[in-house]
Amino acid sequence: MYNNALSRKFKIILCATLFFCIHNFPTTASAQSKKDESVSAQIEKLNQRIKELESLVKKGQEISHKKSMSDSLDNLALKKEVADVLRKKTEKASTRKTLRTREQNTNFPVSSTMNPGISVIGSFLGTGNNIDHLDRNYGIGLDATEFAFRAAVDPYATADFFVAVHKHKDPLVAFHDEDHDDLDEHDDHGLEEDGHEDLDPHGHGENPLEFELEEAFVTLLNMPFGTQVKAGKFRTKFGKLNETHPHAYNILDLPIMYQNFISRDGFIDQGVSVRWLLPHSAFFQELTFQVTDGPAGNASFARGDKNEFVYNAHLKNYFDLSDNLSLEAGLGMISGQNAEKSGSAQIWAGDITIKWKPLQRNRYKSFEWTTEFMQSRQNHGIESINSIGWFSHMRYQTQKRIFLGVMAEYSEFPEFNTYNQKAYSGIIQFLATEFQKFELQGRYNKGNFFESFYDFSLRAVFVIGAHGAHQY
Amino acid sequence: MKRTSLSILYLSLVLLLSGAAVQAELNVVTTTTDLADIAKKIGGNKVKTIALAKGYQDPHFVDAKPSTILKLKRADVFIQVGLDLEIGWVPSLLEAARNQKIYFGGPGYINASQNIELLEIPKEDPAYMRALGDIHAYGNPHYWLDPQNGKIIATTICNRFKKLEPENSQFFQDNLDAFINRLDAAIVGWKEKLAPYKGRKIIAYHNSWPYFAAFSNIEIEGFIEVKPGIPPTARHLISLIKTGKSKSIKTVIISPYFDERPAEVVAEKIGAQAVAIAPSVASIEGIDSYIGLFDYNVKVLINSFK
Repeated sequence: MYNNALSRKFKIILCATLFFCIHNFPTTASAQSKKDESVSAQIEKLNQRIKELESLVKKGQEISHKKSMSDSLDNLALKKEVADVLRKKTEKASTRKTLRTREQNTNFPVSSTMNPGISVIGSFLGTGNNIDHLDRNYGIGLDATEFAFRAAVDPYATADFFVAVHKHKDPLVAFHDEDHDDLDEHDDHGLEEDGHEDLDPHGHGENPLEFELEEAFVTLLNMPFGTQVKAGKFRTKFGKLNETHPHAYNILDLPIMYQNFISRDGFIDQGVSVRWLLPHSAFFQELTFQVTDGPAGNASFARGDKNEFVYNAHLKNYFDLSDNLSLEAGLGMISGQNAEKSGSAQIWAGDITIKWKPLQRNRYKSFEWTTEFMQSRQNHGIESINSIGWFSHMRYQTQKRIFLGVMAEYSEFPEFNTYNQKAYSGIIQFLATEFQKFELQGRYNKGNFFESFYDFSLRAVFVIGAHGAHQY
Repeated sequence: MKRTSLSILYLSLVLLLSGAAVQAELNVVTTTTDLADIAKKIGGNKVKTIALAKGYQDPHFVDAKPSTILKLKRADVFIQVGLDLEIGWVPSLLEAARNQKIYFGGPGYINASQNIELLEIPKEDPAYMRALGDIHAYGNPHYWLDPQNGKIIATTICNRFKKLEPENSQFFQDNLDAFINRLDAAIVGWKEKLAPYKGRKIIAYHNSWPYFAAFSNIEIEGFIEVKPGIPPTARHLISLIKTGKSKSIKTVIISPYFDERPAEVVAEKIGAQAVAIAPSVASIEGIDSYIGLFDYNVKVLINSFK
């Protein structure tokens, strides 16, 4: 009985496996027979070809026999033909159908195709404000010029160089406490009683242009475990805005929280950056870790006197909510020696962006809303000062070339959390072409340590040279 | 014991045989739907294709979303139109993709513009090129809109597939031959239909049609755009209307990613038809293949000429 049950089981297993094999076998078996057929067809073709070649060889042998008798005559004829060809001009290209290479197709000399992608971006700025006591309320001139060079170094790396030429930027509002130095170590300007900067303290009308190698780095594209490594001088991965170059902002000034906690130019430092794309494919998630030497002119951090570095980590998360809607959320932290070199400092930052851009008419309509938040901690021995800042910016595209923006901002100061300032802005952008834009921003500023005032900025940005990447 | 070992033997045989029946597909990512369709025709069931741009999207301005990097990371082959059509979004994506197979110059990277005879190669001094608008310095990139070029694109793709999977060379070659034969037969049909309308003049929105115009023997007399990338002004439209009237133009063609209103206004003023024409596969509903693209475009164009 036991044996019968077992043998029945085996019969079932055998049938099941046979069924499974037959189900797969048609693919392999019929594929096999198809293979056989195509092999026979190929053999047939090869046989045919061999016969053709045999007859050609036979003909060739006959010809060479005749040829040897008339060689001397042929040589003379050949020499004449070659001489004729050398004397004649070559045929015009239009009478000949040839496939031309890219270099032949252009007027550009081949040497220029080995140049890096070079672009030059200029930015003209006009500003004004209604701060009563200032002698000069209006300014006009070049805001910044950027020379960008980028190219592939080899199959494994790219390199980027950015030289910036700009005027030294004084903030319109700066906090000055009698017992402490100015926040901006370049700034030796005097302050008015109500906290406003004297924009021209020396009375010379001077504001020279400064050259600066803003960024210079190599990026190794294919490091192990899905990482990419960047080394050199670069804008750190901090918040949503720090890596963006000023001419590419959709606002005319870095948000006040960046200015107060970092600097007017953002966080730029020298070191190494590792970017790791997390291996899952549920959504885009990238972790960046950076070690840098320590910046100059930074409100929160300074280069350590000892073996201390600045550490920065940022996690970017990106979700496609639909074809037309996306969500990006980032979280980051910087840690290093504080600006006064009296202890450590940390800044935690979070950013969230919602973007709507309909696929079909993405050139005509879009909406974007970005909010960033920052908390800073400055440690001086047993004392710690916590300060915060945030901004929220909405940008709506009304038609192909016009964008309207509104922004609200709040910021304390890294060393003084009892003092704060707010700003509310309206922005209009006219993107005339891909290479030229005009922007106007009006801003209302208020704070608990200065008299409120309005200021406006008008900017024109123009670019020549290599086509850069579109921003998303 | 004997029966257990026999069943293990059966099981392992089954697994072995089922393994022999399955082969991994090549993961092919393309920029446009046209390249995806051609790649699928050549690769058949040995490839899986994804197009990053939808058919109705302007391929110059596809957004380089971070999520696209995830698709590129897993790709075996990447195909782009080239000639700077995708310059605004592809290089940054390929740099971030962490995939040497498909990076520029990689074994799976295909620039489909190779071997194409290009039209409208600008002869202007490079320093003044942008005065002509946002034109492409190497030549007009919309070359897939001449079906003869479809054969060249297909051959380029086939040759690369053969290099990547030599064991399937004959399969790809057979598919290529079949595709070219079908395309050749279709070309004869389209040429016949278009023959009575040789030299007909039309107005287009953007300069994406020189290859199609050359194939169809039609002439594009003017563009809604002032220059490539410069949207129409009132003055330009008025001048275009004058041209349209004086040359008795009966057709104004528009692509799905442009604002149709200026074209409709011009068409109305000159007594012409504003016709939605398909720049790519799947740009208009019902167009699901490269051959279908020209079937549709030839049909709507001829209808507007009648």
